[in-house]
Amino acid sequence: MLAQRLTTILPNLTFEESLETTKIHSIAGTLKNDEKIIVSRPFRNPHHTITKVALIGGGRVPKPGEISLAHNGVLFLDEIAEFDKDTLEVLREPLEDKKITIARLNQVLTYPCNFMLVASMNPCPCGYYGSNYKQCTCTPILIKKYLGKLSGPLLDRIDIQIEVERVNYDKLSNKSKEESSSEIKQRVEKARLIQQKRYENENIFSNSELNHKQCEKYCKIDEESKELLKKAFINLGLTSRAYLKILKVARTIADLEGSENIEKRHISEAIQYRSLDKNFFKN
Amino acid sequence: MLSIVKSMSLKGLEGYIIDVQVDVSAGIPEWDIVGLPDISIKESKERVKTAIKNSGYELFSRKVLVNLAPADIRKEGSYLDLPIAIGVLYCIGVIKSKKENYSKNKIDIFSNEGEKNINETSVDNEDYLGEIEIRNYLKNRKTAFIGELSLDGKINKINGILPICIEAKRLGMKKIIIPYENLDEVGIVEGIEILGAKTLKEIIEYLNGNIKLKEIKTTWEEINKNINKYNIDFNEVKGQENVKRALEIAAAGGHNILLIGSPGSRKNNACTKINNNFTKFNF
Amino acid sequence: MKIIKSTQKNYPEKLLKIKNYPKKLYVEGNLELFDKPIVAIVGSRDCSEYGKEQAKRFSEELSKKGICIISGLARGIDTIAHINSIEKEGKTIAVLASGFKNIYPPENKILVEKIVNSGGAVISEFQPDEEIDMSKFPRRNRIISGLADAILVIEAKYRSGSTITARYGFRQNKEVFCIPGNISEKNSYGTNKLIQEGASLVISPMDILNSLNYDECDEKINIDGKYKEVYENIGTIPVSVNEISKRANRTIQEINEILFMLEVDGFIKSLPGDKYVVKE
Repeated sequence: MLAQRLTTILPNLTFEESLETTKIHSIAGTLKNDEKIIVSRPFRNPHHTITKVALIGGGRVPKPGEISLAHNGVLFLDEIAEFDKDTLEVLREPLEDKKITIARLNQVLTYPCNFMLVASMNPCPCGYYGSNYKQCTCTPILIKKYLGKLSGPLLDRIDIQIEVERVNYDKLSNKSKEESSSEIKQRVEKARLIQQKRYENENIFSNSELNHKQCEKYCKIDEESKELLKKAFINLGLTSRAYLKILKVARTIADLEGSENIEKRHISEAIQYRSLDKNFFKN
Repeated sequence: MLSIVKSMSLKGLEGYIIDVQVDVSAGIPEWDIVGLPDISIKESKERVKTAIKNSGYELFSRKVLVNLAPADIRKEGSYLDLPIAIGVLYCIGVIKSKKENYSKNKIDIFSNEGEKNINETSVDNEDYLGEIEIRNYLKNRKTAFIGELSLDGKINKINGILPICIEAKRLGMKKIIIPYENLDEVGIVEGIEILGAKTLKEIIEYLNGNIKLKEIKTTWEEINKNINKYNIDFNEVKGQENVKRALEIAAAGGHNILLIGSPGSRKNNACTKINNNFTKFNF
Repeated sequence: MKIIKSTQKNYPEKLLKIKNYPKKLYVEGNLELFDKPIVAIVGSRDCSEYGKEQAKRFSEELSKKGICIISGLARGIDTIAHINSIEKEGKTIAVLASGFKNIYPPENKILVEKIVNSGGAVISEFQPDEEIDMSKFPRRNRIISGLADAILVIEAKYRSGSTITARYGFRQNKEVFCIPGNISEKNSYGTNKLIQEGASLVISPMDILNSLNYDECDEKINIDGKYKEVYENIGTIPVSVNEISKRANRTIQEINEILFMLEVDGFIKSLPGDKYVVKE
């Protein structure tokens, strides 16, 4: 799956990160036999029937949950709309604090959980809304209800929304050369380095962690871009919650390019990653 | 007769030292474990009893009392089998606390048997420690034992050994004796002597100064070099350039991401993954 | 200010066709607007939020297509129609129910200036010093309907000025459009009634444009360079981003940026599934 390959383009684990991750897996007993220490970023994809406890950790003998097992890696929630709504809501604080505190009768435990959330979902219950291959059979209300399973606060913590198109057979059998993970990784690592340097004094590591105030400081845009954003908000019917995210993503795009300032083209690309706002929540 | 053996446990990722106090006295044959043990620890008396017997030592009929200090924290898991067994063996005199043993192996296991002997001014008095030395040892004991016993005296692998070793070092321990099978996982930990033992008998021999135990050291570079990192790659994904680009941005900025797609948009990639795995197995 | 007599050549031709046309017109601003397609947007003074929203939408959309908006400079819908037309760089015509010296409502004096400065026009059939009075409103309304090619009533109460304008429109054989409303809503009574009597119901600005036989008038799409190159690869059948990128032979970064610009400027539309079509 595409999401799984995300781990291959993330920067290598540092020694400290590796130790931390291994510690958690060591406690949970999820280390593989030949694995002395975890050197590749973990990829966890729990099934949507998962319980709250299994997701965030706990139990009678408190064990780290999936979110902690995904520490320094990727947590992939396939078919996120099928998850129990309550289960998803418990993700809110861990996504913000990067750690989870579990209180039990005799003890209070804290496990780190600094993970990247990757979620996937269908555009509608039947799955074919906006598809070329099959007619969607859902009513607008049904679609709205389906999308409504993702609560605002949770969506607020997801910066990028993108639509995945089905690939036809021609393309699959196409022998054309695609870019390899290591090539992409080089660019990613470069961008991360820029961010690390910039946020030296801020106690954060990446653009995604920018809060409102920091955003104003580090994501400055010129008048022309502001005008463009304004136009986009009016013409595309974007919601206000998209504003900060667009800036953050634009910052990352600029970093990938090695550009110090956020240019108009970065902003315009960033807006393209608001599929839900643009195409689904518009009406 | 009383002995105190050090061990370790975890609260979340945070470690703490446990004093395993074992008292063996004449009386009705009975085993009791106090200090908030859970069921798996309460059962350990059966394992310890049988393991000692099957290692070739006679327990006779004695009353055994084990206290796990600090007594107000609930302890879980089977990894306290080993310190309990060591404590018992010490009390019944299988492990000898001779002065030369300490100097030879720097073992810090200790019992108040020595104290008694000093008072009694027995014949081999000089073999045992002096009172002041005893106090010092009490304060400075720096060896922890950890491991689960099987009935035949073998020491079984446990979970969470890496955080235990790291925390042991942080808490000022100098040496930790762990199951041999766990030794691979902790080669990376520096600043503490970590020894692996296969059987209870081996530890007894070691503590009595007859053999040496094995130690493994690895470095981060070495692990990083030899590891076969990922068996998936982005170049196996045909098409879907927009998603790849979005994932690249997500990776670069640490952004959470939501993929929206109709059925069939991602499954094809799973196929390529399976293919990839097959070639691996054949080789 | 200019005075145009009905015998003069530059007197609007459309006005001559109505009964009882004004013998002379006082005009301030652009005299060439009268031959352009003109749509009247009229409605209540105390309009609802719904009315405001629709007035804004229709005024903007029609102005963007180069259509001239005519209205009566009154409070409410009229003012909104004028303002939004100016904002979208459209041309607008205001018809006064008084002389130029007694502009009513007084707060709209600034708006009059704005209209003139933006290339629009303000007209009146009354002497500059004539005062406002009730009887002048219907007279003004016949000019509005007379100059317009189509009349759009946004909101109207039972027996209101807007319904009068619409009825003039019926008599003058103009196309009358009404925005439907909730039947229990006072502000929509007039419009619903007009629809019952034969006015056309509108849902989108396209309905009006179609009836005017509007074909992209003078605003032909004008894009160039890489934007045009990409634009040419998009048709009426939805195409995905990846497909466009392949056809135009550009990277996803570039394509995303270009598509966004095209979308913001209203040339293309994005659909669910990350697909794009040309906007009609």
